[in-house]
Amino acid sequence: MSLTQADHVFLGVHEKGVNEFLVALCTARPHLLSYASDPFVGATSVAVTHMAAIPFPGVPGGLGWAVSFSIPEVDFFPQTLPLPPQLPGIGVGGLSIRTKVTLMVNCAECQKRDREGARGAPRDDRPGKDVPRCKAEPTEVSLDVFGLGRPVVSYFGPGTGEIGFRVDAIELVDVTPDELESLLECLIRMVLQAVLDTVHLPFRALSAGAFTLALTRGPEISDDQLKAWGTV
Amino acid sequence: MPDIIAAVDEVAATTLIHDAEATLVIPTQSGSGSLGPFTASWSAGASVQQGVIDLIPPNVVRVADCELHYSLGFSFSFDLSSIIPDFCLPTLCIPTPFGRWCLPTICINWPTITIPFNYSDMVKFTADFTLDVHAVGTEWLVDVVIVGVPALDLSAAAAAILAGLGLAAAGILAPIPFIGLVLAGAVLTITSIIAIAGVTGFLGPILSIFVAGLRFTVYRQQKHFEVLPSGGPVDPPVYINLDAISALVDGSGGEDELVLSVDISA
Repeated sequence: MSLTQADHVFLGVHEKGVNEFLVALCTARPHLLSYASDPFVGATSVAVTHMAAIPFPGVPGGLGWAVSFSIPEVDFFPQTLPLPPQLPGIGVGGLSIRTKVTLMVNCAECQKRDREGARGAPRDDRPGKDVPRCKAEPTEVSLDVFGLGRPVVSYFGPGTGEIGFRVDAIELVDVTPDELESLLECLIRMVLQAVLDTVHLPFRALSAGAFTLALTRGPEISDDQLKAWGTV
Repeated sequence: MPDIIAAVDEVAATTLIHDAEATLVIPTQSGSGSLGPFTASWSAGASVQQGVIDLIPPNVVRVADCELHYSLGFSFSFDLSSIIPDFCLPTLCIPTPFGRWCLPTICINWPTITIPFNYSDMVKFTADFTLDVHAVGTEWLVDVVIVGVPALDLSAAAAAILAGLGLAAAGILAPIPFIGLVLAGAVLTITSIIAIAGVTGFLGPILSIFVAGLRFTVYRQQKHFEVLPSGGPVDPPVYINLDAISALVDGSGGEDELVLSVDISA
């Protein structure tokens, strides 16, 4: 069967190519994979996206946190890379995503005396600025994340569109008890999906700028490739 | 397996070739040559349009019924003496009461005339092109390059040029003293000397310049390829490197396709 089949144009991007693009994207814009609140980060930069701390009574400035992912690696059907036995394997037309997530909290211990002192302190030392006055120590954990998903397309018109990824399930390895693992998997699935929603492969990248693709079919995954058909 | 495979069928290839034709700039050419009794200087411009693509594995892109639109500006110089003999009126003496009065010998030396002539037309041709992938500086290019010089059917154009040249010559010759008597004969002589074959032989090499080495660029891209433009202060542009590119015509799937393979790196 021809590559273009019943259409006039075919584009196929091998998983190696997609992973190279992900490396290029996430190296140029690492803030897409890294999120942190005060006191870790004060403002969004190329390196990290600034987020609000989680307000909580009795914790001055809120709970400081950070989440970051290593550059994701995708594997298209048929499966090439091993997956944890808890996952069923890559289904027809699917893909797997592997990354490492690092969760960090600002583990602060504030003495009552410190908080009282904060109330009487000058304006600049009021909540939001008083975390450093506590004894704080960042605490982090890194976990391998394996996910199953599929491609999704956003098509805006001839030549303008992008391909993203939807996570259907993830698996964390060696987390016990099971209830904690389930909770973390739910949390990380939501966060990972939100992160992947910002990671798109533009059609222009898929065609290496060869032509303007007017999408008529796809994307589909097979033969370790992401495939799309259309016209010019 | 390459990181990216892009394939187009003959329909899409025709679109790509037409796009390449539209961006092709063919430099104006000029020169001089002989056309029968004429010495002709010429300048010419051309453009290429249309054509139907036939992909032939493994490396041929045949463009059928491609149109070469051309515009020619001629300036023909012609020595009338080459068709009308120079002549001298002999000395004529008349006896008068005051002696013989003789008229001097009068010689007619026909001048060289210049005939400007413009002509525009289109000629169709069919030619085979081959794929040429190469890097120039910071860019990758995939060109289709013509193989050989196709035969151009210039008979219709030659007849039109010959007729037009006759009219132009008549217009130039009419004011010249004494020529009026022989104008029709002179024009007929000129056009018969040149003949269709003469014009074809003159026109062919000129137009062949435009199709010899004809090259369409169907793909041009920076090796350091910007896939995402800057999106703001924290979103710098994203580049990938196009490390290797190859192109071929593949018919193994039952349909002839132009296939571009690209390897990339971050």
